[in-house]
Amino acid sequence: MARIKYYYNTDTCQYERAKVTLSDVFLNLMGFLSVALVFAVAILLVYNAYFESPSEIQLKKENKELKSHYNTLQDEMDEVSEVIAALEDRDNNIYRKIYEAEPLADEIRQAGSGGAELYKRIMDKGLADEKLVISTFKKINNLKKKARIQNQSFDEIMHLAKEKEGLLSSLPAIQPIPNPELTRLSSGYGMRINPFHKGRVKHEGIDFAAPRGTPVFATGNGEVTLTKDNSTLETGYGNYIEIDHGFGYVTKYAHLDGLNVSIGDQVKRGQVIGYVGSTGGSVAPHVHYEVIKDNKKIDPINFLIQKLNDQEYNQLVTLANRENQSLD
Amino acid sequence: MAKIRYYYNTETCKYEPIKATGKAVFLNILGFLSVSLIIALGLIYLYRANFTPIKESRLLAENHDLKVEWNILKDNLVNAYSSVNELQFKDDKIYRVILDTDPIPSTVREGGVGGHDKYEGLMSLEENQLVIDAYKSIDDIKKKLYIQSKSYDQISNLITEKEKMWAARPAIQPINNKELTRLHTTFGPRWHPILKRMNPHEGLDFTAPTGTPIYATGDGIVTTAYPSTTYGNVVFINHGYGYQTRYAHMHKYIVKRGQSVKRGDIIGYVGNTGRSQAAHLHYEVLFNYKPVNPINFFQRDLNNEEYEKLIKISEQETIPLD
Repeated sequence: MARIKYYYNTDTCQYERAKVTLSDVFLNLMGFLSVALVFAVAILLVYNAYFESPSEIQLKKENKELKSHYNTLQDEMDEVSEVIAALEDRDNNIYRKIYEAEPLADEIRQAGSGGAELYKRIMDKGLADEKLVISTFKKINNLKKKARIQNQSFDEIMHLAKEKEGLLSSLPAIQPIPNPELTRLSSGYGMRINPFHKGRVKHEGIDFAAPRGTPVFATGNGEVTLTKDNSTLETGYGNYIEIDHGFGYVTKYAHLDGLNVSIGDQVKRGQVIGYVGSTGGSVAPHVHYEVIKDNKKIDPINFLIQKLNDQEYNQLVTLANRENQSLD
Repeated sequence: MAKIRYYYNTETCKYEPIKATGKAVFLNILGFLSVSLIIALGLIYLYRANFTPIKESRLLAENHDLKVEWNILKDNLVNAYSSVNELQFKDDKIYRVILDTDPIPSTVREGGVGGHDKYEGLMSLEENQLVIDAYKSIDDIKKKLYIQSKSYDQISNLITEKEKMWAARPAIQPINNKELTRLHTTFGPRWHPILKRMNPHEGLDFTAPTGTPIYATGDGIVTTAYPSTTYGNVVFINHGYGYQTRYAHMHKYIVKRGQSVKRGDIIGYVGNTGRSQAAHLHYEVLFNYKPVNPINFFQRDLNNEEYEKLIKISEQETIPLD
């Protein structure tokens, strides 16, 4: 179309070149675009209505499969949850039969550290209130003074401990058997249900259940003062050992299967002195462990703190406080 | 465009109007449409490159939701696992220790879960690992739950057995005697005042007024209840597990042969029948047919300490009543 076009200009009565004006171009372009747009929309609509893009096909398939497998697994999951609940029931019943007590709530077992939240709230509130902050500071100061006084007596005790050579290594400071997951503390000091006649009696030691033959440790340095071997009685302490640690402390380990020491032996903390059994009046293999201070039987839990962090120690205390059935 | 266009015809040297032939118009329109089409395609391309069509975005949203639900399912699986492990832990580490029995071996607990092939052909999509893992986990959990349930069966049986055994042992005193003050003579050879010689005394004597109730000291079955010349009115009970008890010199007995008794049931009353010096209960315990010291078996209201003291005291000699 290289032809040059002319038009007849009625004003000049001449033929003049037809110029391509900008508005012409613009109009042309708009024409193209609008038609193109109409086309595009039409094509898309038709396509959408009748065809699926590859990614759509893919997605549809994936969704379908995900859904169907999900439903299958969800059903299985529901079944599994029911079975788990039923087994947890059985577990609780077994616990009750063995301990004659209610199982511990799970929350206690987690030894929660919910304390941080509480303090954060107080802190956030407190900083906004000056008076509160000041009075708190005063209280803290007073407490510090008191603590300093307390500190002194604590220092005195530590001083004594260092003076009385060997006090620290003589105290019954560990558990008498290995207790890796803290599962073995069965029944603590205090009023407990007697497994023979089911009446409540004073249980003056801690029962640590363990498989027969588990080694029993001396819980502090000392001297073996009493042993009983070859017990045939069906009641009482069975085979047992008593160790004198000095400073008024004596420990006793009962219901043993076998002894590893004799009267007069010097023992160190952690030394194997015997093996767990069920001799004497015992309904399960365990060591009945007593701490005797100045001839009075006291709660051993107050001493066996070594090698335990706070959380583990709290767990032991919780276990020991259950008012359940003792093993002897 | 009503303007008439002219072109300069070099042959006629005149300006002639441009006629719009059908062919020309047709080609024009065709050209116009093709360009529009090309632009349209260009627009479509741009659109698809930058926007997701509605259908697709809906599918994507659905896909996303499904994946969220899958994650929740995964979390539930994790929780289920930890519940199962908790049960296993308590079973092996606590209950079986106290019940004096072995934990279930881990070979049994972990025991083979179905091979890979079972799951491979499962799906064709990209995310299949997620789904395969879930199937595997559920199978694994189900297996563990099965084993745990069998373990509980075993434990329940053990507990029942133990309870029966503890109920059968002669574990209490045959007459009400909180401080064992009525214990007169104990187990072992004694000087017999009538026979004038050392006589084995194979039981315990409890002094008590005639008519004091006597209790069965453990669950069991009465094997004999009859008047004997030496034992007087006597009742024999078989408790099973090797244990038997005998209650002699009764004033009268209120059970008969074959009767089932429970610990604490009254079986008769203290008397002075048979070869006896005074109203008392002569009580024997046999283990595998051999007489054993009954003091072995009861310590009601006594703790270990007091009990040991008592044993020492009771080992002193006294004159028997029979």
